[in-house]
Amino acid sequence: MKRFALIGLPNTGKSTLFNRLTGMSQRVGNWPGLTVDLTSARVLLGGSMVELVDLPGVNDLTGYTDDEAVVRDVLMSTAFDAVVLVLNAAQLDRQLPLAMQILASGLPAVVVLNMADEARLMGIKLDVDALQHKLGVSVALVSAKRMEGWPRLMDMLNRQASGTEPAVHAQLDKVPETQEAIALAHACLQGVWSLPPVLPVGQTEKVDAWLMHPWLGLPLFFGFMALLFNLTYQIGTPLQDLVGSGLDWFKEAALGHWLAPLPAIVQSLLLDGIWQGVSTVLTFAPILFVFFILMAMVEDSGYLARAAYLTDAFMARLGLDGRGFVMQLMGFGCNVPAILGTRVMRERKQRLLTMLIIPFSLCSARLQVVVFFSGILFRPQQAPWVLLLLYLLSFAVAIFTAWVFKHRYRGNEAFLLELPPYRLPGLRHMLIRATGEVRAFLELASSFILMGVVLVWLVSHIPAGHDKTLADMLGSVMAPVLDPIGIRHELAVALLVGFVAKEILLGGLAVIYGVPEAGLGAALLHHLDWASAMSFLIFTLIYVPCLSTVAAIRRESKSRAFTALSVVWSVLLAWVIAFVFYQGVHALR
Amino acid sequence: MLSLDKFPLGCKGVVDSLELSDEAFRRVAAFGLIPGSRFSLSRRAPFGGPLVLEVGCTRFLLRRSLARFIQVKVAE
Repeated sequence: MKRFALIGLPNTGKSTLFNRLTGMSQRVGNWPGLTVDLTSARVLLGGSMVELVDLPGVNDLTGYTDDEAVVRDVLMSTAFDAVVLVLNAAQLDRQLPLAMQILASGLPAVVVLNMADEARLMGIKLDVDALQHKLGVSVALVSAKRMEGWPRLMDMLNRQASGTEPAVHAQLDKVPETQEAIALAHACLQGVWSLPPVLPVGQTEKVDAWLMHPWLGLPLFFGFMALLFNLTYQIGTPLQDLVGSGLDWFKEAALGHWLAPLPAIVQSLLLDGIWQGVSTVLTFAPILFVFFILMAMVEDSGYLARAAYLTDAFMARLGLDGRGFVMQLMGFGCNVPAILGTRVMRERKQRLLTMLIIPFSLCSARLQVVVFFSGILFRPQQAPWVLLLLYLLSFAVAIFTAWVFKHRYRGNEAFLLELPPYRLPGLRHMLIRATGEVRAFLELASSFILMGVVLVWLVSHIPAGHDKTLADMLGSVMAPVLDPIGIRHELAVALLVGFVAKEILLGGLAVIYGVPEAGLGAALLHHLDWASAMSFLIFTLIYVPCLSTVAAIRRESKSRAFTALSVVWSVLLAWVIAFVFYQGVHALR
Repeated sequence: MLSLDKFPLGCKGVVDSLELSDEAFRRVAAFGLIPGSRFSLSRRAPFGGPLVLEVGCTRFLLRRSLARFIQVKVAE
């Protein structure tokens, strides 16, 4: 089988082209010998099967960003039959240097000049045949979004795939340095490509006059975020409930009956343990799907870069960049997609720092717990203010975390980001992307969450003498840690349940006090005093949001140590803040 | 000659020199900002936020902390 690499600068429509060529057949997989996931797909070109590998967008083959290192490693370790180089036809002045580097590496290449439609609107003069002659490789001018220029592109790819030359490794030592590549590219563009003396003022500038306005920009940004947030939950939550009740129905109607002949303890493991875990994971799917569709719209339309512009002044002080702000806000809906969404940040340290603070965003599952507790602990007039205070607390904790870790995960100061013209996102592209993201998450989370759920089941079901379970023992063992923060021993299990998912925490509390969920409020007031209930709430707010988030962090960071740091840090912080609160209240009394 | 973070808003200029590390230079050059290139400064975010520059058909954000090290001239 032949192997082609798809290479280009960020924002050149490389992924759109990839989706056009491969459709739904793509899969995300670990690249041998590297700790990166690359998307690849098999396509039939020129009568033979070709594996097309989508490499991360890079500016320069000689650079040291994470993505540039990945591309170099892949090109060195793997032999390719061809490189399909995707360039933005309107920006050849800055994009052709990469072509010069690829050509010098000795890899056979074809050049795809994308965004023909935008280049035309800009009034750019381009002689494709002359450029082809100067570069010495085939060049096709296309618009991947509109599928313009497709016959020539397919003809070019088919011809490349039917060649009989053996695959080759890149000779990176022959690649010219940046300055030399730029000089070569500019010489090549002489008389072949030119900008008009005055660029036409497009729609983008007119829209930006509002969206990047010095005073109106930020309010509009928060308005959009509120809209995005609401849409995710207006569409996602009913779907989530639907999936949830469908799964419950299946459990009641079918699974319960099938498992009836089994011994009670096995039934309990299968239903309360494993099935519970499977359902928890599956109910995330609709919300993730909706989120990724909306996120793809924000990113592909070009608005994400504007959001970065508006929030960068604040985020830079925290050692983050403006795109992290969007993810942080999205985390207030659900931490899981926000963590997965940090992929738009291409620098690893920036991503890690952002991933470290997202779990402090008070997500909708925790909101449920917070609303319940503030409803029973405070008067109706006070409750909304308490809620607001807890939101502020979650912001403060996130900012504090960024402040503590910003030196350890210091991002590169040389933060540059293209402000692409506004583009209408392609529906097909968004669907393919959202499906892929959801599938990848489910694959990982299913095993991870299953493990956690089964563990909690074991702890709360294995007897440990004197009609006590391991859970009761856990309470006693944890006493030295729980007593100073006023959390009663029986609640140790509730915290463990909450570690799996906050959605099941209230249900867990009801089981602990042996009351139906409707009577939980009264039971809690009976068993807990005000200070220790608040302490429990604060702890719940700050420690690990859920196992799915931990799974997402593990998947995105590809580091056990980092995942552990994230878990330990949040538990530690939760404990310290609950301690200060509880002891403070006692000192005042 | 002045540094890019002091450049007047809405004006066109020419890059004179970049006092940057190799790595930072590569990043900036990837957006077309090299000695001799023409640019215009179209926006400046409030509260010390990033600048928006245009080089050819490319518009991009650049932090002021980096712009300090780029020497430019106003184009006639």
